[in-house]
Amino acid sequence: MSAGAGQVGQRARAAITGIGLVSPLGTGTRKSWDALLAGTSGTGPITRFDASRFGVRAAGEVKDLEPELYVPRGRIRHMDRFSLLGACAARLAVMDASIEDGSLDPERTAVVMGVGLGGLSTIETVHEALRERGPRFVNPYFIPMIIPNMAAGWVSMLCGIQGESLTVATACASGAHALGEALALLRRGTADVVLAGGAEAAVTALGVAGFAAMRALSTRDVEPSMASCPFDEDRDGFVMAEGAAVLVVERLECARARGARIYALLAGYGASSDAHDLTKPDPDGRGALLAMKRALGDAGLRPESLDHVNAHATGTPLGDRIEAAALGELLGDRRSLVPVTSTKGSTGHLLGAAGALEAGFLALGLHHQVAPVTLNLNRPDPRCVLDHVMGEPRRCSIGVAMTNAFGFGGTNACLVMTRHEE
Amino acid sequence: MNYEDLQQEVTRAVARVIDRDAADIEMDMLFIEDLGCQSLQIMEIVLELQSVFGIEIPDHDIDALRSVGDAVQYVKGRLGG
Repeated sequence: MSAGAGQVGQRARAAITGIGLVSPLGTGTRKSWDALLAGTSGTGPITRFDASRFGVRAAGEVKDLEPELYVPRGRIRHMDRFSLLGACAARLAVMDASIEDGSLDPERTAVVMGVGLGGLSTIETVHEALRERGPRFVNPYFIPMIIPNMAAGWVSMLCGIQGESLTVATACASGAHALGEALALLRRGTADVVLAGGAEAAVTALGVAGFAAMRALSTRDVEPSMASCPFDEDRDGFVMAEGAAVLVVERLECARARGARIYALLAGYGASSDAHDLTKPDPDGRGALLAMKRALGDAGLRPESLDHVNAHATGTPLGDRIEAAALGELLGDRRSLVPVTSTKGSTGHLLGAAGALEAGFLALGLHHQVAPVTLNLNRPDPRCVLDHVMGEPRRCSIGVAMTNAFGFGGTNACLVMTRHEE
Repeated sequence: MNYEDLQQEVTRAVARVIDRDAADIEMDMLFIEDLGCQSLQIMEIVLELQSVFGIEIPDHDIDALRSVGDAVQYVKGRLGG
């Protein structure tokens, strides 16, 4: 055991001491959180490319980011947007955790990022150059810009992290798996601090066309700010979004020793696979339920202790229904007593970053004792009977909370957090 | 394009790639030693010169482009001026 290690072990809980959000609700944790609680929608008409022929009008775009504040200007041209968003979120997280420059032990700090798709916009522009002008016009930075591990690579370079630099690619569960793996690293004892989260920037012509071709996206004729409506009877698909979220997760002893503010404790992680279909969830929600049970078990808790859930619910007809059924089975008699939220109503679906953003919201909810609202949920689907948080956020006592993330390929991740009281 | 214009165009292309002020870039400056270019940045400069001047620069010519002045001479030769 290294000098820096103290209590580590299979059940050890980790402190969440910093949250960096770059979301469609705004850049900066405070801005995103306040907008979420205020009932603001982060989704709107697609502006990042001409989507007039796509039949899809809405997306959640990051509009207020000034990357020069977080990344040296000369480096930005060598970063795909997903890496840029991830790097900015990581810098924000470190600042939020009040970690001074140079105060981290580089070798005892690690980074784990979840990325679903990687450098899609760079693939599009470089492919165009290849087609139109030939192979000698391919950007020499093409490969280091598109590989999914480059978000973690940039976080490592910009923050001086010399421990593990890992990337999880589990589609829309990536961000949650990344946080779970961060907890595993801390328990294993090879790191004291992990920067963990997710980054995605797939609101591009190819990205939107691809998900639209699967009929996964909402095409309803409503205001783009209202298109994302998880659990609602009128839901008809999800709304794509971009963004990044990075959390500073550290061994509780380290956080206490430096007097850090602790938002919440990351207490449990569960993962599973459906072993069923490429894109459709298991009809009985068995994989989802297994992940939830494992996460609670990992935290040493039972379903009866749950006070709040941030659901994966993206707004697809099938996915929301199956998750609701799995939650219903988990909660049993308490299914109408545990406030459930899908913050995707406000943000849209950040794909590989979604699980991390929602983990950030979960930690903030535990810290401030509030369950955010599921925006645009007006008429709950009678097949999704749960205690939905509708209309406005709910102030309530939250001791134990859980967030779900499920990805194509039938991959599931679930995180359990607990309240930290000084 | 006269020689001075050519020098200016090449300097601007280099400045864009390495994110420096064109006024700070001189003809005798070496890409690696003086301007701190990494190997991929040199390839990026080649790409920029190809785009600006509408030429293709084959691999076997690239090693000879050690300074900004080398690049100017090379482009001049390729443009037939």
